[in-house]
Amino acid sequence: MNDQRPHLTRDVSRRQFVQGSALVGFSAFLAACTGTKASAAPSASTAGASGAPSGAPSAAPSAAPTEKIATGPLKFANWPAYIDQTSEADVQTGVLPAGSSKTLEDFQKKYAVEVDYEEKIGDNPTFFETIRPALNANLPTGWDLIVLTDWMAAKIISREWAERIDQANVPNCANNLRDAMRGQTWDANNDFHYPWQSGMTGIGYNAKTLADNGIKAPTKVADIWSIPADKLTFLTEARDTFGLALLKLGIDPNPATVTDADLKAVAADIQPLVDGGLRFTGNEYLQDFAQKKVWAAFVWSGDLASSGGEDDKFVFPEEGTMIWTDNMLIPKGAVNKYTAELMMDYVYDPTVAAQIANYVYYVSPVKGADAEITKLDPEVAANPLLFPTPEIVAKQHSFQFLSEQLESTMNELFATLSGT
Amino acid sequence: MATTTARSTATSGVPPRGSLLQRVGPRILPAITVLAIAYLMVPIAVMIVFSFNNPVGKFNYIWNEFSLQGWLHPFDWPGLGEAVQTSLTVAVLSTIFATVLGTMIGLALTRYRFRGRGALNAVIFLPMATPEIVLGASMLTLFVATALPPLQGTVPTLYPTGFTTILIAHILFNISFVVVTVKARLVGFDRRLEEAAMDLGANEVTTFWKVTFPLILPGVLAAAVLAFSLSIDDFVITNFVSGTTNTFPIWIYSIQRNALPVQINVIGSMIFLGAVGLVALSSARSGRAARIR
Amino acid sequence: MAAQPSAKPGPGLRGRLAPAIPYLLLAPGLLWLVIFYVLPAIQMFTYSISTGSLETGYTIDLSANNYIEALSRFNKQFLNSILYGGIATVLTLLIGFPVAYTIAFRGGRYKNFILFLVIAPFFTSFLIRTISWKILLGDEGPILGFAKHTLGILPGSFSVLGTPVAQLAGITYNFLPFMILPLYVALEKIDPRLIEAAEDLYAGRAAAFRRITFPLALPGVFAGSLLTFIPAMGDYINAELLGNPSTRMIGNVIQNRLLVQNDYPVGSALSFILMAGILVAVAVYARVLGTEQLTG
Repeated sequence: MNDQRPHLTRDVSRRQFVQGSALVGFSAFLAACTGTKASAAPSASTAGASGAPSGAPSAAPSAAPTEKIATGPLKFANWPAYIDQTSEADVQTGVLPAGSSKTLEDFQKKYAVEVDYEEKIGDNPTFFETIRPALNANLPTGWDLIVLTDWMAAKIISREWAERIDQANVPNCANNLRDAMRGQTWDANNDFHYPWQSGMTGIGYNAKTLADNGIKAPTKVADIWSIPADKLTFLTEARDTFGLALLKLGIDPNPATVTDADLKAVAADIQPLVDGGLRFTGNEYLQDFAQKKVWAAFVWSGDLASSGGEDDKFVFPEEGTMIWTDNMLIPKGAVNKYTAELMMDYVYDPTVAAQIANYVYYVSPVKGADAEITKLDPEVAANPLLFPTPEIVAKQHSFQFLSEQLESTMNELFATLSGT
Repeated sequence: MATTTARSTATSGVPPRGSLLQRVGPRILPAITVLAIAYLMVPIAVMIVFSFNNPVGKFNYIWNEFSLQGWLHPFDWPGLGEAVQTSLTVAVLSTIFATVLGTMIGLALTRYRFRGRGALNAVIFLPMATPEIVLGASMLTLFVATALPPLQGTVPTLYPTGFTTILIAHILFNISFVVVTVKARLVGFDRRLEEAAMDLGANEVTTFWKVTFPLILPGVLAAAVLAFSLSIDDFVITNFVSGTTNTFPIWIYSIQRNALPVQINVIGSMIFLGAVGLVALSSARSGRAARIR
Repeated sequence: MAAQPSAKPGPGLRGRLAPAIPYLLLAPGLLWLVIFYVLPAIQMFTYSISTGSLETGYTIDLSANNYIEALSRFNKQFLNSILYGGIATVLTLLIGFPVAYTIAFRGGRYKNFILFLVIAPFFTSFLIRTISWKILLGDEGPILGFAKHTLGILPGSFSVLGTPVAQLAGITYNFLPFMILPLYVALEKIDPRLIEAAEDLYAGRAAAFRRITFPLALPGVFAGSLLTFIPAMGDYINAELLGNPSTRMIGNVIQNRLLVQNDYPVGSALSFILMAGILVAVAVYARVLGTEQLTG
């Protein structure tokens, strides 16, 4: 075996390596071609991007500027598909660029300030973990405006990690916030937050499949328990799952009155279903519905409204529905606080609110949005999933802001149920 | 080849000449390979097919009707174009750096003896063994710490996080994979080839480029390709260290609550077809060159 | 720590530089690993020997409570990780070896292209690949629907998604390139004339494979197994999207501990148990394969 000679011609030659490098270079070129904005983006996001000098962390950040100048760019973090996309018509006629949002574009024009809108929030705890170290250390998070669900917003506010909103800068918000949304226990006067959109959790089911299998269509949460467990899914969002399950047991899902024992009762109630094949999903249930793998599930109102199949129905359970809201907050240390307030105010203009809600398909917190939506799309205005009737509103419950003890109990119980 | 095997006796495990096995035998391997490649491609085919879908509503889960909408408007979401650009740039850069650093470590480990090798190997394996969320959260803590006393001022500040920190993190997790892949090639490398080159008058640099490097190149390239695929699809770690910068995987994982647009399939298809197309081109050209030579 | 290059040191610059070369090669990468991995890992480790919470702060008390809780409470998920990671590694080896072999020995001019074809699917998003598989493997999808209704060989209630099979298939699929690439680079290095020589000496194909090819490919097998098993153990997303509550792996637990419960002490304890276990497994595996050479 001493005869081994190098195979310089058989292996990849240097020529191929150079070509490989060209490949690499071309990829970079491709990368450069795909951005709509100039490639100042990468360098702009390193130290100093938010405008703060990179060496001044402990300048505790809550001094509001005395003159009211909208500084930018506004760093706005939101959930994806939560703001209107520019319509094709507007893109074709050159009114607005592709990949933009009319709301944001109009805002940018009106206040002559740039908005850096990033659809980065995928779920509350994950996003929170990315900003917690900075908030803990009193450093700016880099964001000026973020949108988080009630319970996370409440947590941030309770730790004094949100900037106080100057109500004088947000007259639209103050005037147009729907009354049902006012007076949250965790921020009664809206000093720190204003809602963005609300959603409801209820029951979804495939009417045809249930009928084919001789099962009556569910009208109550309790009905779900009589459907084979491996054809069910509940939500990975513990609050929604536990909330509806509490309603089933006749317990008022009020964070102030629910006890550990109640939660344990719920867990015991759900455990047999888990043993029978129940799974917990995010909104992959839509795919499961489409494939007939799931016959009924706890679902979020917006999804089925916009994307369910013909036979997929949403029902407001007799016992009640859970409602949750995603809220705008200004995290502590935000550099462009005033601009953030301007944005909050801007989206509370009924016309703008209608524009957003019409696209997003969730419940708008803005009074007068329904009237405006009728102009955009009359059908939508009559949709109870976007504009719930007073009877439904009366039975809405919010099981969001729990005490630490309760939250910990719920999370541990849910972890055991879901196998973690 | 067939003549040499015909000489073998039955006891050596070769099927008798003319038997079914001997006719089918040589074809089994390519058949398995084709099947395996088909298996690998199947979800990609589905992805490409569904990129031509016009979904009912906001979730692209069921086939509805054929449409070019996604392909005509691939970057229609606010910020998506930049996110894709950032992802590609980070992938290319982190691949280059990680491949260089990892290859160097691989060379050192396989050719030289020194104490502390066990510990070194552990340090290299451990990032692969650490759950991504732990990697991400701990790196974020480090980056934040560079902006606070006592580190503040003494080390370059890596806060606010953004492109730079994403790049740092990607290079980090890629190094381990590169080292392991390159070592598979380097083990058993015959140093006498290099000696022979140097005896013939080449200096170290020439020897490396003309002898060593071409021989280890497949390993280096394979490591680079692996690193690229890891980087371009990384979500968890990137999510923690990206600050206000968005990347394509983050966007994909975040969007699920509200929508699943066609654009994901379209951009995924673009990346796939672009990469494969480039390599096909380069293979075809090098093939022609080889024949000319 | 004297470094001895295996070639003889010569005169001049080469002689003086030679001892420093390994350290120069190691330094940049090692520095990177130390700063951005080891230091943060040490910080994480301190959590695992602390008690407290995010609100009340952490105090290091050097107790093993967190480790004990981690092992006793989550042993099922640890076992799941070992099981699924292990089986997936074996499967990727069984599937990947023939593929790597064919590309290396029969690929010819198109070697790189075919190899790339094998890897390029993994440039696309994991989520899309998984959704595509879910479309294909749906209860009434193209495969199961066909088997159930047209062929009639499966009962109507048969389901793949949400079962251990789907989860295993997902892990196997997604780690296939991690096995194929190292196998390929090891196999491609083998001189085919060695095999020719073996056959000239009356070895059959099987014997030649067993005694020449496979031993020479061992570095690739080792590398591929590491690159598959190690990350697969810490994987969480296949379990999340394709499994059910009884198939959760330790990665899911860690995810939950850190993000939802904010339980850093137990979360880091879990991570370090995982890491320690993997190191032990790797050392044993290297010993079993019988080469110090493999670990480099």
